[in-house]
Amino acid sequence: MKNPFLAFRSVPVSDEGNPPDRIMADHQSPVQQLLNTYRNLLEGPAKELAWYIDHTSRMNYYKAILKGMEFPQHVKNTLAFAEKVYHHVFEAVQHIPYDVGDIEDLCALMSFSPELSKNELRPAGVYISALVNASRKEHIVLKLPILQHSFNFLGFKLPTGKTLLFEGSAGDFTGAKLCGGFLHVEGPARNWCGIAMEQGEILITKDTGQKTGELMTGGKISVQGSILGIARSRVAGEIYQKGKPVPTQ
Amino acid sequence: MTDNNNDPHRAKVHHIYAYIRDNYYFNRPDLRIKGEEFNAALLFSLLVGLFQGKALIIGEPGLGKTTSVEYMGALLYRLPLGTIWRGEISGHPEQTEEKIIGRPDLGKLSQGKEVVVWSHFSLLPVKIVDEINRLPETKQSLILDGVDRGNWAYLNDAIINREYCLFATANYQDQGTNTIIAPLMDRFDMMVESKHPGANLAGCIGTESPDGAALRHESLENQFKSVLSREDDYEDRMKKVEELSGEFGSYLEENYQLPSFSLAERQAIRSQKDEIRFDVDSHAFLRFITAELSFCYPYGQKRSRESCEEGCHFNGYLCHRIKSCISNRFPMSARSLSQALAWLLGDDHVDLEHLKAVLPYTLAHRIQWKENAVARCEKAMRRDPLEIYMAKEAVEEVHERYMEQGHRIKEALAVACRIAENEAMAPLHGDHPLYWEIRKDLGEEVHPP
Repeated sequence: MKNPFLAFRSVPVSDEGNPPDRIMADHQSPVQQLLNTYRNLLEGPAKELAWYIDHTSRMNYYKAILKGMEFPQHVKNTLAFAEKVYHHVFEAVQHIPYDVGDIEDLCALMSFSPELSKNELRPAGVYISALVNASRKEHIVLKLPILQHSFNFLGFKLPTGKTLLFEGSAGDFTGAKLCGGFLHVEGPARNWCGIAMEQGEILITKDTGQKTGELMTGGKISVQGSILGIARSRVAGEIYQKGKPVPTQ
Repeated sequence: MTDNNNDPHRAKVHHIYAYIRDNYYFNRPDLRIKGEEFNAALLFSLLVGLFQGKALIIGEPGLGKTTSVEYMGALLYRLPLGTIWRGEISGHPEQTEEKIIGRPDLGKLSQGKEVVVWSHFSLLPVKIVDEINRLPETKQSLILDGVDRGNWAYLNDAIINREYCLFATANYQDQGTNTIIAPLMDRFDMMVESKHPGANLAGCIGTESPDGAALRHESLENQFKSVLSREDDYEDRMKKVEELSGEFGSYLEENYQLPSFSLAERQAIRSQKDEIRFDVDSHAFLRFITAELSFCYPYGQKRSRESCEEGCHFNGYLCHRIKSCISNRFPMSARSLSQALAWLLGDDHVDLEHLKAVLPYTLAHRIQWKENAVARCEKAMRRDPLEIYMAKEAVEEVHERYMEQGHRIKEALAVACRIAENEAMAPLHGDHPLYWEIRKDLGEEVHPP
């Protein structure tokens, strides 16, 4: 077959290869330690959380069929399991000397790693959120515009006084149970954005998916793009689309 | 437009542009490239005419769509206006193949001989279809092959144009218009709007009488008619047409100091254009945008009858907002027009600026946007018609992405080149559809994100 890349023969190639390959080469790096911790987590509570996240996503796709059904209990279970994993991570990463750059590298590594399946990556956002919240830095920037997988639960339980700026596509449950922090996503977020958030602010510069603001009890969500679906079971809090308030349905 | 140009052909093209701009087609500049300002309709008509392209010129009635290309065709091909007019066809529901392409010679037919009388439209190198969208969809198919390759067939006879350019004009939708069928639409290299010039310039139209007579020559027009109506072989007729064109060119030069081009000069210019190479960024950027307009992870490629899910991982890219797959004619048009623009500006290679300038016009008529994408833009403040505005916004958005990822994309393409030449390397991974396309080309099985 014809080589369709000949026009690029003269472009120099660095010997760094894919970012994950570089990171994997250093077995003692904090990133490698964080990754090992995540793998251990997958043997325990994260495994069940992965199942719940998958199940919740599927339920969302079949929402048309399930019209009229009560808000599924398993969504609440998903949040409960996420909380359990979150507290587990907090303890598990105490001894690892990581910084913000390591969190960014970990995200890229997990996203591109052929060793982690799609299912194993489902709870990864809870892990990343716990790392962000456990970090001493108040303002954290994660620039990840070219991830192969988007992470669920980014900004989970982000506490007051903490700001997370995430550049890239966020997955389901973005900003879930936000506790007063400011989550800024430069990009879109998928379904269940701001679910059960208590206080604080979420800013999404592109679109959000279904059930934005579900079970929200306080705080503010601002979406600069379009909102595919607004929550029906919002208790309190404010949602703005392109600067205009969105009424409760 | 700068006058300072060493190449005599290029200087002549600049002269023609300035002459039409200053005398026949008053309009504001709406395109800035490399510090020079142009009117897009005039500039692209010039490039399409000279480099044998096909242009669709849209706009409200009476804003100079047809007039501008008639003048352009007259000067670029040394054809008097009367001859250009004879070769024009107008789109209306009663139009027939016999009027557009050719008809049987009835006198000969009664003697049992099948001889085709070719229309001036099919013979002349400057082809103008006025109000193409007034042709019913079924009749648009009659000109598909001719528009695409210059092949005109009638009965058992055929002619193949040795050189030709095509301009079609279209008014906005009204009661008498039809939809231009997708295959015909795709055959146009670009689409541009002939805009209103504004109240001040419009006030000047017709007040200073431009020397419109310069492009008329009744005696030569009659000779052209007689040559085109002969029964000679197509090549012989075209030789005679070229001789008459030479006479008309001398007439323009001697009486009005107006430049025009012979066939040999046009061919020389086209060779110069074909030698212009693309830099690495323009190569990569064209692939980058083509990938976004053709890629679909779940279904392998975009297809007009398949729509991707809302939750698709790639929903941040253009592929999520369009209905159908971009055609192979798109990169061909983009390459040809950007080379033409680089040639006109005297540049020795095509760079991102040339490509970015032509892309919206090569995409505007080819992209079928989803309804929600259209709904987001239709009320936006803008100066262009919706299709061109959306194409400009899309190109800008993709360019922004390219500026962020270009370095790594180029590296990924370079690595792919080495892998294709059997070097032991791993392809680079990334989120953009182009990375996935590269991996597919290298025979990798790619898994869903």
